[in-house]
Amino acid sequence: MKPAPLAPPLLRRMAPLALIAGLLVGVALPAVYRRVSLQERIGQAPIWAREVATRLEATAADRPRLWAYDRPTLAAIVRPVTRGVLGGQVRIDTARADRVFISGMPRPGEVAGWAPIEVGGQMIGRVEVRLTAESIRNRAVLLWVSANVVALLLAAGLFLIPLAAARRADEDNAALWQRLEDANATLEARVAERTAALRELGARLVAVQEEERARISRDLHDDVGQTMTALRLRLTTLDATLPADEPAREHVEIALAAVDAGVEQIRRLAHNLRPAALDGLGLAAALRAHALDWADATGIGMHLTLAEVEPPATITDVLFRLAQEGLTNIARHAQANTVWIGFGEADDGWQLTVEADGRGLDPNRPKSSGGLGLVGARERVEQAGGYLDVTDREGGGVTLLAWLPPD
Amino acid sequence: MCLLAAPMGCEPVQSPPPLPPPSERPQRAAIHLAGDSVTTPLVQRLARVFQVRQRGQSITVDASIGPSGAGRALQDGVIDAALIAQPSNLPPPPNAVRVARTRVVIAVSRSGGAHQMSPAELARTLLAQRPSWPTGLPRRVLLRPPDDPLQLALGARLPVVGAALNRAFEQGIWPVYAQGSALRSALRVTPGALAITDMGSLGLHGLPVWVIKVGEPVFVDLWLRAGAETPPRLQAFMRWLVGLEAQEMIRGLGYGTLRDPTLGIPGRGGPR
Repeated sequence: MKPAPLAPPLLRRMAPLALIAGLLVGVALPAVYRRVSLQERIGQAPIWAREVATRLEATAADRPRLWAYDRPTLAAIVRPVTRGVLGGQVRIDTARADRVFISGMPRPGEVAGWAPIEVGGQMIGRVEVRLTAESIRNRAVLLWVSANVVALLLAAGLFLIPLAAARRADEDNAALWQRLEDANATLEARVAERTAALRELGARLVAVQEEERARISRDLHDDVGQTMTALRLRLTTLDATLPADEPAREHVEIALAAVDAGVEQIRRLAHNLRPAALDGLGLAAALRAHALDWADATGIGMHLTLAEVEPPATITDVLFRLAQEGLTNIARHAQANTVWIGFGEADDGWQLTVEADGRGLDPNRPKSSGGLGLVGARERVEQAGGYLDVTDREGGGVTLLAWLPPD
Repeated sequence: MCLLAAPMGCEPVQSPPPLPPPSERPQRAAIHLAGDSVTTPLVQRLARVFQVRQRGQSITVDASIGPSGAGRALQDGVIDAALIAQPSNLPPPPNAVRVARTRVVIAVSRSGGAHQMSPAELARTLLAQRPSWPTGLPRRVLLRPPDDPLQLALGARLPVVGAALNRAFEQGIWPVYAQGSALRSALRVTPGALAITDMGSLGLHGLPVWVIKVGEPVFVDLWLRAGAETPPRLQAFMRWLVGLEAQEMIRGLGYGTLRDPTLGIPGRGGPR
């Protein structure tokens, strides 16, 4: 199965992560900085207000009437606040005058702190210190801008770098997959080529084997058969020439019976090696002849459904040998009463079925195995590019089904 | 939401503590005067003489509280009269008597070795663009607060000096002395010091400095301004101030008087 691309799922997972990272850096960092700085500045305002109030209380104790009007002294007291590093505005209010002193200019973003001015336990005025938070605001805005730039870069980095890596990996995977498919195609082509070669080799092997069998069959029939026939004629002549009460006639008759048995055995052997009908009358006729002989020999009922078509010689040999082997096994193991043989064209090829009632397959037997004969038959079928199924027959018994390509 | 808008501004708002109600104004047994640092020392000296001459006339002259503070204190009724110096070319304040006239001068410590200075050079000195005196000592300018009447009068007459003063205050180049007494002490002991002061003060306090004439003469008048209500004792003091005895004393201290508005320049070696 072709591997799924990495980029889309990575894209889905990295997008929220990049967004969260960007928000944290771009918004939370400046906000936290500003909040902390502002809290610090807010804490400073009342401290400075108290500092100014303490000095004013000392001045008011010395000059209870005029302390609030002594602008030079007030200016000197508040100058550290207004001109110091803090910057800001100081306002002094008294009970009598609403505002007696104000120093510094109001600025945006101020934070205020207050402290009472007390002399002799009585509150006589109030100090208000407004410290500018403008610098904090400006720094926060600068930090905000910088942090957003960093956040954008970070988000882009978190987003684009893995995405680029995933895309490269996808491209590598695609190229690798393509090479794999090419190699697979090459391999399949080679397998097909080798399979074809093997099929051809198998077919040639079968043909050579059949030719050899035919030659042996002919030799047995023509040479050994003729010799045996000549021998029988001699024995017959000898038997005729011996007197009726000649004791040797008994031996001649035994020899004649042995010769007859030998002739029959040679005939049967020659037939089994290569039925003459196979070459002369075709597969259907050869199957029919062999099946009927087999039925006569075994006493098992035979039903034949044979199409009068003729496959190529290589196919013919394979199918005939398969039927021959099947019947041999049925005779040995099936304890069958009836056998059905069918042959014809099917699925753009050739199909042969051999069915027998009686015993089914041994459940402990490996599925692909069989007797040595069936193993050889399966090999011949597969070498010819077909297949062989040996299964239990519905209702009991065994079914052999072979299919072979058209040529 | 505040978190997102935090970089732009989002602060908690607090309320200031309330002020107590105003207390009753205490009844005063004596006449109270207060004013700026130019007029106050002279009037303090005169008041002591007046109280000796007029037994039973109690007059208290407080230390300087600055011209604006004096005006506000007078308005609030905290004092009976304000002592105010203002350029002589301005119209007289209401309900006031002119006590004296004094000339605005530049005082430099004798260690500097300088005897004259142009307005441009004074401006550069105020801006720290002339780092040292002819003797090699560094120039150190001693300033009063921006509302000092002498500095304002000099700046109004010499715009280049006024602009330099403003920039010096804005940039915080030189130390600013809130009290005139503190400035006089610093002028007395600081090598290479320079301050804008007046002839009367120099004569009154006997400072060991050189006086440098810069540009055209600039005068300020010293006024005693009464409030809406003028107590009889204050009226008596005001009459005495413009009388012959007080004016002679004022002239003797180095100030100009009603009869002699033109001031002389003390000889080399400075005022006594």
